[in-house]
Amino acid sequence: MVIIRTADKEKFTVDRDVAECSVLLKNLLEDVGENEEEEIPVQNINSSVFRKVLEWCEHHKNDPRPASDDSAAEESRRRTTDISEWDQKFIAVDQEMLFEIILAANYLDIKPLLDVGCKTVANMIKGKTPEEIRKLFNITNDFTPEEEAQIRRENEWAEDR
Amino acid sequence: MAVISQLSPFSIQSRLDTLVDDVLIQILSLLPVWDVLHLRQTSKRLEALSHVRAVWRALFERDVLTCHRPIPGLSFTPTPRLLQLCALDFSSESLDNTEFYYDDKYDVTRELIEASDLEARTLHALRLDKSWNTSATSIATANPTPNVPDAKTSESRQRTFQTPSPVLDIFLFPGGRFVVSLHADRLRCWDLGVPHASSPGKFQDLPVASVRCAGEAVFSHILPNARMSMDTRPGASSVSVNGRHKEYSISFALIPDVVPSWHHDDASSAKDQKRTCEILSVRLDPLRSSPLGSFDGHVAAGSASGSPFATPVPLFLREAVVSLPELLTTPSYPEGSISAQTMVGEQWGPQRFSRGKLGKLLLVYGSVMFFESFVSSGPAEGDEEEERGPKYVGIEVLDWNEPTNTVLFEYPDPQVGSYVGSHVHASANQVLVVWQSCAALYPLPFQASNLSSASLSGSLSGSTSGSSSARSSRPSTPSRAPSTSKFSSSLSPLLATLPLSSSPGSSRSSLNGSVLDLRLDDKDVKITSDSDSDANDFAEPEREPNRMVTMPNVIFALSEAVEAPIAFSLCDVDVNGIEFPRKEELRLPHPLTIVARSRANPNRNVQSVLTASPNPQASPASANADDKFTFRLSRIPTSTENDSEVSSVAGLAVGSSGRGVRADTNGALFRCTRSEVVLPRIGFGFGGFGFGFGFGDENAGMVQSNAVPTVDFWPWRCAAVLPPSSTIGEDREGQLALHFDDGMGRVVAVRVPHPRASADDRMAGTSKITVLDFA
Repeated sequence: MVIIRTADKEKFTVDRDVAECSVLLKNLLEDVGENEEEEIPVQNINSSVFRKVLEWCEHHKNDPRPASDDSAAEESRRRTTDISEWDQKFIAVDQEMLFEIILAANYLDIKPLLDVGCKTVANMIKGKTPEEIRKLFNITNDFTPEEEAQIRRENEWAEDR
Repeated sequence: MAVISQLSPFSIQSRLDTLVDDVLIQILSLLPVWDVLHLRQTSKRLEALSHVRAVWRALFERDVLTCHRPIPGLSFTPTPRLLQLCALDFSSESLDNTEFYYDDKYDVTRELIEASDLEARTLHALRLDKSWNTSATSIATANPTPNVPDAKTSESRQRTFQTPSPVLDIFLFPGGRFVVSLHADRLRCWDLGVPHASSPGKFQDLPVASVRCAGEAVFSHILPNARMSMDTRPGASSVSVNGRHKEYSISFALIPDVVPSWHHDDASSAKDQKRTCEILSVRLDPLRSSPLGSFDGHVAAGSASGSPFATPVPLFLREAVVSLPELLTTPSYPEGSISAQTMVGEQWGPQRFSRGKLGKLLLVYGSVMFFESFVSSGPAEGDEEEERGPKYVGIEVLDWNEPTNTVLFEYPDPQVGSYVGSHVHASANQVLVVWQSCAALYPLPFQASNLSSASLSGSLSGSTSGSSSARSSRPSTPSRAPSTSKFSSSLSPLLATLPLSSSPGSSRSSLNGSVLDLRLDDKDVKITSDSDSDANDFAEPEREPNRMVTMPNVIFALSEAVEAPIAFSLCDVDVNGIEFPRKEELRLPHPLTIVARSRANPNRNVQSVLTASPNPQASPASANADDKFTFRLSRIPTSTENDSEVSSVAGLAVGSSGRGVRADTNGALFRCTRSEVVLPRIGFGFGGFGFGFGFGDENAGMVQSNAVPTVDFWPWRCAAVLPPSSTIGEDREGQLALHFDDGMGRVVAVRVPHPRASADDRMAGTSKITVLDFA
């Protein structure tokens, strides 16, 4: 068991196997050694997000870990936006939590979880117009009217697929 | 991602903006291309990220490479918005300052341009895929009567432009954008523009659809019988001459055609008939050919933007002038075969090939040239004054880097008919030669591995797998200065090479590592070589000519006699010559499809596929690679609907992916696409004449299924109609030169003079080149 302290000072006691889903934590644990008393701080993640991440790691702790040099398998995994049923239910959260999970997965270096998050965002974007995407993600249009017209003109032929 | 931050200052935070660049790039890489273009329009940061090379590299790999779609050629179009992002100014003032390209913006610019090129290629491949498959249906619906061309139903985009003098031949560059036309007095390179699918429809201020002459090379004197051949390796993008190796270029061999004749005094006449062959190269891909600054300052006329990327063909470069052997020596047979000594004095011995001469140039593959080979038709004793006619004896193969060494592919028998076509089957290390009633496989001479490895370094592989691998493919042969590289040769037909837009004055261009001065006088343009002057004076030691006879490994009798036109395709190879991996038999040569016109019924195609299987009798340690496989030629039955009812097959052009076109004499154009057929594997004891033996692994004697890629014609769906100026009619007046780039979906067709046409027909008048875009 290892103890992990989140940004809001909450402590989590986690199975080593579960923690090692994160490459970052795995490396930190290797540095710490067998000293189970030492707390590992995770400064960029608050407890609610970390709890969610742990839930994912708990479920996937027995999944085969992708080898670092297995780029072909990784590429094929990334090519599709298919998400497993359990992951779909897991990631069915509000947008704020979704982006927090993605940031946490990126920070903790949990590639499969990051993939799930990215695929979810990609699926949300699919088939939407630029205006619908702006509205969905609250994106501020920072183009000047001239720039916007130019970009639209240069890309509107894409509609004719 | 410092680049991105520099390009797009952060705006007000949205939820998506909380993500770091790397995560957003991963999200973009997962999206369909159309959604990437939508996301691009939402904010400056997302716009900048949508131009990141990593995004388009992933999308290109996913949507083009993995799906085995034919790869379009260079499709970069410098849109105003892209130039803003590049912070580039392609005005003439900035082009004068060559150091402009070496400043800090270089990497940013290059990445954006490469990303935009990949983006355009990806979009083009997707659109072409759809239009190639769907327009056939709509045409079929609109034109229910089969094989009756109807111009109104053609959905393809067709343009015809006129050349000032007759076209003797045309060559479509890999990539489909540039076409070279051969005339009696010059070569012209035409920029056909980027097809519609790769160019923004609303972005009409660049001449994407217009045709312009990008450059030309003028001959020193008229060559009405000029013949040219382009390197035919799939995805050829490197030139190897005299031990030098140039990437991202393609080579041509230019030579006057002659009909060999023998006089009683060949020694003196040979001096007068000295035959030289020009080796030319043209740069292919400006994005990866060299740093952006080294465009020699030449910008072709008509480039509206002034962008150097508008033309990757600033010059035809002359690589070498090769003196061909006038009189071929008596050949020898390879060790272990028939001994030449036993045949001295015999009429059928190797001396029957003595005093041989080269005929027409048939094919160029890398630096290897294939010629018709002739000997004198008879001894004609007591009649020495009379000129004797040529007797065809096969195909003479030589490497232009060492033209004194030749290999004769012996003609099997006069009964097999005249030559139809040949193809270098690189993965089998064989050359397939087709005569009217048989096909024969000969071993590929001259270190084929060097040739085929170069083909892997295609222009696009540089962008997808890193350019380092492409640049590392150097020929393993030691550098050798042949006795033939004489730039001052007075017999050289080319006097100068220059782009159309060259203004009078003096310019310097790099050529073969030396510098040539193009001194432009009022009218005369002379080419001199200051650094090669010593080399010209240097007397090379005479090399002992070496000539070897090669017998065919296998001869297949064709079940139906064929004639030109003929086309070959591996049906599974991208345009860079890289074979798509197959599920099984990875080490076997790739099946090769052969399509030719039937002699008995010219309205019909005859289609066969050459397959290989391991030779169980070959020892694993056998040094002879030719023994490793057994080959089999199988006729592919084609539907009777393939028989055109109204006209003959006039042209066939099939790309390496299996997409291709067939043109009939009345101009009707039909398509073919890749398809798989199941061939029975014929076990030991099932073979017969006309078949190689196929061995089904350990189950010899069993018939197993074996799906092989080939092509499927859709002749009942007329895709387009060539204009009458391009068609040749049933009277066979002239011939149809037909080329097809399957990546771009572009057909180029022109009517060229018949080989027996008079010199006047070859020099007077005009020609009309038709360009047809399926995208």
